[in-house]
Amino acid sequence: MKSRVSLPSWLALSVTALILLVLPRLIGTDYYLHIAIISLVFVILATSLDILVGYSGLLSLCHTAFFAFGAYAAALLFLHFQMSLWLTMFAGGVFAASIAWLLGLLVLSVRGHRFIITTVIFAEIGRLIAYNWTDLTQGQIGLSGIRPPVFDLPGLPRIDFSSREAYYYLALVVTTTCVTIIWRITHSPIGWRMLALRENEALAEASGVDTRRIATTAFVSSAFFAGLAGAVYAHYTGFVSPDLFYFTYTTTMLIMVFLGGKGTIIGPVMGAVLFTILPEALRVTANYRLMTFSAILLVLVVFAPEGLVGLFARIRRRFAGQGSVQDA
Amino acid sequence: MLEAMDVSVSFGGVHAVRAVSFRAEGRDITSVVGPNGAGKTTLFNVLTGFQKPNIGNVVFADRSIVGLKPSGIAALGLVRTFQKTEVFKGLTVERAVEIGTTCGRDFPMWQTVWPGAIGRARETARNEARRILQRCVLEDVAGEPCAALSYGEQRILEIALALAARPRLLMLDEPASGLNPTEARRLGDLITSIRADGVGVILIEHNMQLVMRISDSIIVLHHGEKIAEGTPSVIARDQRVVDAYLGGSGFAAA
Repeated sequence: MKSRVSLPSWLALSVTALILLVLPRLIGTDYYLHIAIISLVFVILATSLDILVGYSGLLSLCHTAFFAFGAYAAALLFLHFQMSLWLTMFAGGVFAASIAWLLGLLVLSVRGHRFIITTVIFAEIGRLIAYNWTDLTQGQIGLSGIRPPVFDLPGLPRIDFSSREAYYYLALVVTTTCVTIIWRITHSPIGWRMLALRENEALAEASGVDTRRIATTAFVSSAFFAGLAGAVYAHYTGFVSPDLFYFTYTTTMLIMVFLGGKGTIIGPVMGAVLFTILPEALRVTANYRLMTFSAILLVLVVFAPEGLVGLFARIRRRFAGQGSVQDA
Repeated sequence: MLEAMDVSVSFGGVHAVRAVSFRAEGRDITSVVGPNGAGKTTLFNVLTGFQKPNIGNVVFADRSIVGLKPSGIAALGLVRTFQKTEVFKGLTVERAVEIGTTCGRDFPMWQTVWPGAIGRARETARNEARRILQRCVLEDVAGEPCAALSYGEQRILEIALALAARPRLLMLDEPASGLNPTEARRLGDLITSIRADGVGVILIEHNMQLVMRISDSIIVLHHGEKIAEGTPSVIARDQRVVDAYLGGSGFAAA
């Protein structure tokens, strides 16, 4: 609960911000920019999942379903009503959040394996709807032709976001805003209630936390940002399909949260960037790519059980020579 | 302040609590004693919303609280601790109590993007937590993780967490169990100081020495029924109470 950010943190933050701002100039090619944009989308997904998994202690395995619902909502609103990302972002978020609220009525009364299994089934139901409601979703063919937005207000320069570089900056602004809000939620009394729920549900309830309500808040807000990320993704790739509901995406997001460091926000941010870039960087190992990737994951799981954040903290402590209790 | 009326709870035909009625005043220490299995904790669970009574009513601060969630009852000022030690294990002591102070306060989502709102909430929480930790003599371990505290300290921490919820009536379930005599005395002093602040206390406790020393009135449960009620001196002479305890725990020795 530091009220002020320390000087080294400010420096690290400023340097990161500077690098992010000039990144398109540094890396140049469209392919690298593509990876950067996808990382940014995953940063929203991983940090929003952290609200649920890290702070509230609710292991949800349907995060990609909210991402997909947001993407589909954005795609349909664009294709049928020509709504731009400026609107579909919020529509996608609200749509995913509404579904989360309804699902929450059903699943948030149970915990542990019953909650986990229900969320898996829910994601599969989502996929089946997207797959079979062909009149609306075109099934396996998917929906294509979703365009990036154009910023066009009288008196201001017109910006067309269909270039990779422009979309990178758009995604950067949206992601930074989302992460800031998620940070503020989790570091406010709302986030503290989530911690109470995670640490001891009976005690939280006895302390005056309406645990059902805070679990719903966590579930709905987490889904909102996933849906919003879905819209950013849909307008970027221009294409959505039922594959977005696949369990592997949820697994990827969970890896980012756990191996980044759950319950820290900054950990999932690092996890999202690293685990988007790493599989691409490992292309140099050709046929051994997935094997190498898996080996790296295994090593991290064993030697950095608290994730990258915990690993860095341990390294810093070793060099500083003194330990301190980590802020949860 | 708190009144239970004909409260009965049964689990599959076994009566855990049978038609128990009693009153606890807002400025008193009321103890609930009885042999193991007498229904004390079940009664506590009913009073705090963790267990629905089969029949009967519970009135707190002039309203019926049967059917309210535990959190709703806590928000009214009826706050409990648990028989088995319950703390926020992964958090530091300071952090846990800070969180405790904000749990009952409303903090709408829009305030998370309102400049200064989080800072103010944090400041208030920090000040309140410092006061509570001082009072419970836990300042020295404020920076430790809750799980690292000794058993005795954890039991005191539970009371600190309950105080963080701003109780008007505090319900403690066997707070002295497992404490050594020095710790138990310290606990007794803390409980009487809580009463001195105008907060009522309902106490389930097996440590009869402590109960006899600090209670204003005592209720005795046996097989789910209330068999006696009165001041410590009246209870000590009550024949039914002595009978209930003979062959059980060593009540007569107290």
